[in-house]
Amino acid sequence: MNKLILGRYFHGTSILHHLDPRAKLLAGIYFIFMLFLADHFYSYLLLWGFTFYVMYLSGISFKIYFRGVKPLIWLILFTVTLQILFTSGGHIYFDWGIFTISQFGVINGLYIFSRFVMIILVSTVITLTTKPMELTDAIHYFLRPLAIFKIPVNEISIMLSISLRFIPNLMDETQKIMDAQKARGAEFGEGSIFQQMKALVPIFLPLFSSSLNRAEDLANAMEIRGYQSNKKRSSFRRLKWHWKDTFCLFTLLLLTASVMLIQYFT
Amino acid sequence: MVMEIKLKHVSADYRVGPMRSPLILNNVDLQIKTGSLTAVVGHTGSGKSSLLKTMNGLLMPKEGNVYIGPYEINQKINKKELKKIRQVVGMVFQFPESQLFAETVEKDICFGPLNFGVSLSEAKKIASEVIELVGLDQSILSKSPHALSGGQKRRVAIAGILAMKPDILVLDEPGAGLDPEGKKEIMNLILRQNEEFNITTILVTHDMEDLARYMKDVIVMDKGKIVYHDSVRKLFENPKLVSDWNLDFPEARKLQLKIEQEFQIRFPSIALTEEELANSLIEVGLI
Amino acid sequence: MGPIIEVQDIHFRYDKRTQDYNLSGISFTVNKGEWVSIIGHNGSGKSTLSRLLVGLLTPDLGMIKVNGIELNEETKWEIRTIIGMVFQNPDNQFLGTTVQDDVAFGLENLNIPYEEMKKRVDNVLELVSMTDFREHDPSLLSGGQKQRVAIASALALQSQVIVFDEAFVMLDPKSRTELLQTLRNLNKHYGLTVISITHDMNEASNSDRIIMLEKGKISFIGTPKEAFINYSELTPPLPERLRRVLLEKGRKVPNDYINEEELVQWLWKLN
Repeated sequence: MNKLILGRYFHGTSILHHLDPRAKLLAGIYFIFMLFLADHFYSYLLLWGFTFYVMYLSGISFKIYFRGVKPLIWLILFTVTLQILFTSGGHIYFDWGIFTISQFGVINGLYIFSRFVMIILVSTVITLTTKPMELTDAIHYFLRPLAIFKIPVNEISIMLSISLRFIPNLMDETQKIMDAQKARGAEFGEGSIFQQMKALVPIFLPLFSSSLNRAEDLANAMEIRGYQSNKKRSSFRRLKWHWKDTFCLFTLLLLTASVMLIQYFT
Repeated sequence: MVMEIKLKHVSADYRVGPMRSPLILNNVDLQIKTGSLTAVVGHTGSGKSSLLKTMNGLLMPKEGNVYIGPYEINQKINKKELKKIRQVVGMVFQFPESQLFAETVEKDICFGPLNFGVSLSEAKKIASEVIELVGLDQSILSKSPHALSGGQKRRVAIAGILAMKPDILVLDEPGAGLDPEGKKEIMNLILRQNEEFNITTILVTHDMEDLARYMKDVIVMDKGKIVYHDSVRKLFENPKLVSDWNLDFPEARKLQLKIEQEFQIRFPSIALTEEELANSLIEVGLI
Repeated sequence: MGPIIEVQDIHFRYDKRTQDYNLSGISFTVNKGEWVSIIGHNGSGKSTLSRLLVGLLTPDLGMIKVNGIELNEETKWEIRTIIGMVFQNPDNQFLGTTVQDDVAFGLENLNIPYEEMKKRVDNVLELVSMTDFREHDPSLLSGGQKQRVAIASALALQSQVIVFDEAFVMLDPKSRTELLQTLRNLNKHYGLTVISITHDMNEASNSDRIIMLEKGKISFIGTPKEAFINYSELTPPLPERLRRVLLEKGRKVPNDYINEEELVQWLWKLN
C-alpha cells in the first residue's frame, strides 16, 4: 500500500502545483489521447521529451516517478514481448515456429512500451502535483453540465469528496482492527489462499459494519445541515483560472501541431 | 505464575510509508511486578498506547528488550514465541466493541481460544464461564453482537480477551465512552480480576477521578519517556509535577486546594475523594 | 415572544406494527437562551427525542413547534436553520475536507452566494476559537476541536438552538472542559439556546432546567437542585456529595442541596 506512488499528493511549489486542476486534468486526458494517435518514431521522441520536461517541471525527483512504474513493469514487459513475438511485418530478424521477431513487431513493441510508461508517468505527474480535493473539484466542474440529463452530479461529487476525507480514517481503523485481532492470536498472510482469505473476515466484517454506521450518521448530519438532492447548491471552493492555465493548454496545441507536422512530412 | 514485565532501554518508532516517525518511545526502563495494578497516564502523544503495544509484540522495539515473564521480545523473536506471548498478554484496545465480528457472542468469544489451539468444546465451556465473569447472562451467548447495547458489547469484547486466560491484562481506556454506571461496572470487573486471580493489570486512563478512586500505582509518560512510577497519592501531593506533565487533579483535591486558598490554611493530608475531603475538613476543625 | 421550542404531547414508536410507544405523552417548552439538560438511562428515549426535535423522525401523535412554526415535512427545512444538532461521534459528522469546508457545507446547501458564505464562515470560526485551524483537515484535529467545528456549522446557519446528543461522551476530560467553556460562553453572551442530552451530572447541575426521561415518559422537569434532592439515584456534583457524607458523619451541615459557592459561603459562616 505504501509503495503506491500513483494517486498520492506530493507537496511542492512548482508551477505545476499551481496550475488549475481543470487544466491539468484536460491536458492529461488530451495527452493520453495523443499517445494513441502518434504513429511515427520522431513523434514518440517528441512526446517522450515532453513527458520528461513535464516531470522536470514538477520538481519531484525522477526516482520517485520510476518507483511508480515499477509495480507495473512486468505487465508492461509481458504485453510488449507478446507484441514483439507475434507481430510480423517488414524485415524479419528471427523466425521460429509461431514466433516471429520482425522490424514491425519490434517498433510496435517500442511504441506500446512508450505509451504504457508515458501514461503512467503523466498520470503520476498530475496526481503528485494536485491535491485530491482539487481533482474532485475539477471533476465536479466537468460533470456539472450533465445535470441536464438527470445525472446526480451533486451526489457524485459529494461521494467523491467524502470518500477522500475518510480514507485516513479507514486506514486507521483497519490498522486498529488488525492489531486487536492479532492480539487475539489471529495471523495474516499465512497458509493457503483460502486460509488467508478466511483470516480477513475478522477484519472486513467490523470495517463493514462501522462503515455502515458511519454512512447513517453522515446521512443524518447532511440532512440536518439542509442537504437536499436536486436542489441547487453554491460552492465555497472556487477554482480560479489564470493565464498560465490557458498557456498550459496552448502548449498542448503546439505539441499536437508539431506531431502532426512530423507525421505529415515523413 | 510469575509474570513480571520488564522493559530495558526500549526505544521504538513507527514506519509510515518510506519514512520513519520520530521516537515514540525513548529509552524506556520499566519493571512491573506480578499481580500488581498499575495505571498509565500522560498527555496525548506521550507514548501510552505505544508502551502497551510493546508488551505483546505489536510494536517491536527498535532498541532494547521487552521481557514478559520468561519470554523475551525483540526483533529476532520467532513466530511461535510471539504467539505464546499474545496468549499470555491479554490486550483490550479502546472501544473494543468495534472488533466484534462473529455471528453470535459465543463464536466471537471463542475466536481467541481457538486461535491458540483450544478445542471447540473446551472453548465453548470457557465462553460460558467468562460471560458470567463479565456480569452478563448465559442467554447472551446465542445473540448477535449487533443486537446488544454499547455497554454489553464492551463486556463481550472483554470476555473475549479473558477467555484466552491471560496472566497479564493490558487495557487502553476501558471506560471510555461509557455512562458513569457502565464505567463503574467495568472498573469493578477489572479490579476483581486483578484481586481474585492475581492478573497483572495495566490500564491507560485519562480520567483523574478513576485514577484517584481505583488505582494505587501510576506510571506517568511524557514525550516517550517514563517520568514517574510510584503511588497515585504521592503524585497528587506534588502540584508542580501535575502541571509539568499536563495532568489534572481529581475534583476533591481541586476543591480542597480552593478551600486552602480561601481560608489560608494548609490541610495535613490530601483528599482524593469526598470521603477523604470530609475527614480532612473535620481534621482541621473547619467543620 | 413565546418559547422557542414547544413540544406538545408527542408519541413515537419505531415499530409501527405495535402499540408499544418508545416515547409517550412528552410535553415541555424551552425558552430562548435556556440551557436544558435531558437525562435518563440508556433506552429511556433521549436520542429518539433529540431526533424528533430536528425532524429526523416524525411523531406519530402530537406536535412540535420551533419558534412558533409547526414542524412537518414542508417546514422542516426552514426549521433546520433555526435548530441545529451536534452528534456524538466527532468524525461521523465532519463532512468537509477542511474545517472551513465543513462549516460551509450547510451554507452551500442553502445556495448562499460566496461573499456571504465567506463572511459567515469567518464569523463563526471566531466564535468557537477555531480560526487558526480553518485549513486543517480533520485528521489533525482532536475530538473536541471537531465538535467545535460542528457547533460552528450550526451557528453558520444562524441556528438559535443547538441540540447536543451526548456530544461530549467520546471526548477526553480536557476536550470536554474546553468545549463546555465554549458552549457556556455562547449561551451567556450570544443567547444560544442549548438542549444537551447528557450523562454528566456536573454538566447537568449547571443547566437551567433538567428534564428526566424514564422508559419513554417524562418523570421530572425542574431545576437541578430539585432533581438532586428528589432523586437519590442521581449522583450529584462533588459539593453536594460532600455535604451528604458530612451529614452521615453527624456533622452540622445545611439541610438543603448546595453547590460549590454555597459550600464555601457556609464554611465562612461557620468559621
